[in-house]
Amino acid sequence: MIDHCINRRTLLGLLAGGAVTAALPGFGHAAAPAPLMRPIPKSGERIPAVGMGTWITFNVGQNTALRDQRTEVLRTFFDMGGGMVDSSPMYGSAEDVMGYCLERLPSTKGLFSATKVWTPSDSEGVEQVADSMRLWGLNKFDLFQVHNLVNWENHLAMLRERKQQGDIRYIGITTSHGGRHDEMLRIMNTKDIDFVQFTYNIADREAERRLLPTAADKGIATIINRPYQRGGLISATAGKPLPAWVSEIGITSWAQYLLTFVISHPAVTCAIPATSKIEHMAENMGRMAAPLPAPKLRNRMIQDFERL
Amino acid sequence: MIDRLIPYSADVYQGLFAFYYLDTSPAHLIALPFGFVITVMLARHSKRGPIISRLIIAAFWIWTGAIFHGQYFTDLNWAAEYFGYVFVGQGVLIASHTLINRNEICRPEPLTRVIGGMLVVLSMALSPTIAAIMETPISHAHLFGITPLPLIIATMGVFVVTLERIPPWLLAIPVTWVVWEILTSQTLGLWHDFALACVALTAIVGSIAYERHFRR
Repeated sequence: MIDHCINRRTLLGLLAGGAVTAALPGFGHAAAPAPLMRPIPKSGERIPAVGMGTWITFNVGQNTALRDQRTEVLRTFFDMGGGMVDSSPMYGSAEDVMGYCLERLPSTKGLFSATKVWTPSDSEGVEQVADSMRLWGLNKFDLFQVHNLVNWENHLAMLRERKQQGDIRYIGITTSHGGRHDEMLRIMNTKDIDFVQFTYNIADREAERRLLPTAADKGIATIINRPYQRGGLISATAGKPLPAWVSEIGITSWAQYLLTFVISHPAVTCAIPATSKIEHMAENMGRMAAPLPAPKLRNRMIQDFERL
Repeated sequence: MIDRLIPYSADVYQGLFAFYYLDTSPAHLIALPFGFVITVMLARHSKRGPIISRLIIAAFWIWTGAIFHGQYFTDLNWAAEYFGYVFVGQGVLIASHTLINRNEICRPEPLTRVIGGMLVVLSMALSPTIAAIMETPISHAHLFGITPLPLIIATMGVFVVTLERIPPWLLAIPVTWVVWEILTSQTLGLWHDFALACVALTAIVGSIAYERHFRR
């Protein structure tokens, strides 16, 4: 599509240098620095657009070999400019394992720690905040969210209090699997929150209709979970040829295609794919240095995906 | 839908068993002679045999709830704490029922003894056999007495021989657990566990059918 404007070698040269491709037709808003950073609307602080989730992948119990391997995954994440790490007390040993990994890394510069409160009980919510700080080995969290809106009213009040005390920098709410959007919207419209987290991917674009526009309108940062639909989209695309044109924006795999689609939405602050493999982490993080498709090309990505 | 309730991967779940056996060793070895004791007691008529075998089974339920679920599985699954309470509760129920009805005498016919004994032997041998056939490490097998599925199969073997009529309320937890195991193992692609869970379900359904329709 863009070969008539610039040849492949030139384009790749520019990409390799981390150059901006704003002049390219079709890349309207591609003037992003490498790595791609996105602002948190409430503060203006910028965080990397690709973070990491820990659902399943970091729940490895006491297995030392697996804990050490996950430490290397996290090392790759930070080495490649990673920031947000998201977890929850619901994820079994994931928070404990995260603490183990963080303790063993010489540098966790750039860490944006995010976890959740997940309990119907008020008092257990307070305990979970203390437990998370102990398990991660942190005395301050960047972000605490109310997981799946469980007892959100009371937990948000508690988290707001902790934010005022300086223990937490941002607060938010989460859903997943495309559920409870109405309730989430009501909270976004009536409460003072910094972040919302929900599911958005190329096959589940319901969030485009109301959640993402409302977040943009209200100045709420967005975290996107399940960008690969828990691997379902990777499986669905396995063995299928990539559309030829996507190589022009540096996409060489379906995983990159799917993640690029998510983070190229202008209202998305950070996507949090989860992986237990170093090569997959490198592939995810690599997307932050590549140009993003403009709206027209995003639509083409949808059409090409739906043709599969 | 079920995948939302499973916060761990298949390999990590299998690894949990290896870690559990290693950490509680020699519990898995000590459990085996109890299995043989139960088998012998089911084969021979004695007044105390049924009581002792049911109390051993009750103890295994309590161990599995308190140790497997409460100390190990809880690392991977927040719900394991509750599973633990339920398993301990089942053990207490079996023990209470046994002690309250200790004077009741059940005289099973030889075929019933054979079926019950075979179920107990199956509970000891099946999972390691499946592991060997599927060429998976023995440490991934579900071992007798200290893991849920073999325990459920053995429990049915003991019940069918030692109880005139199996109270339905003693079956609620085994049935629920087997259904859960079938769903989770299918979701995770753990075909060893799936096969074991199907055998456990067959043991439950078969024991009830045998008791209701064939036993006199």
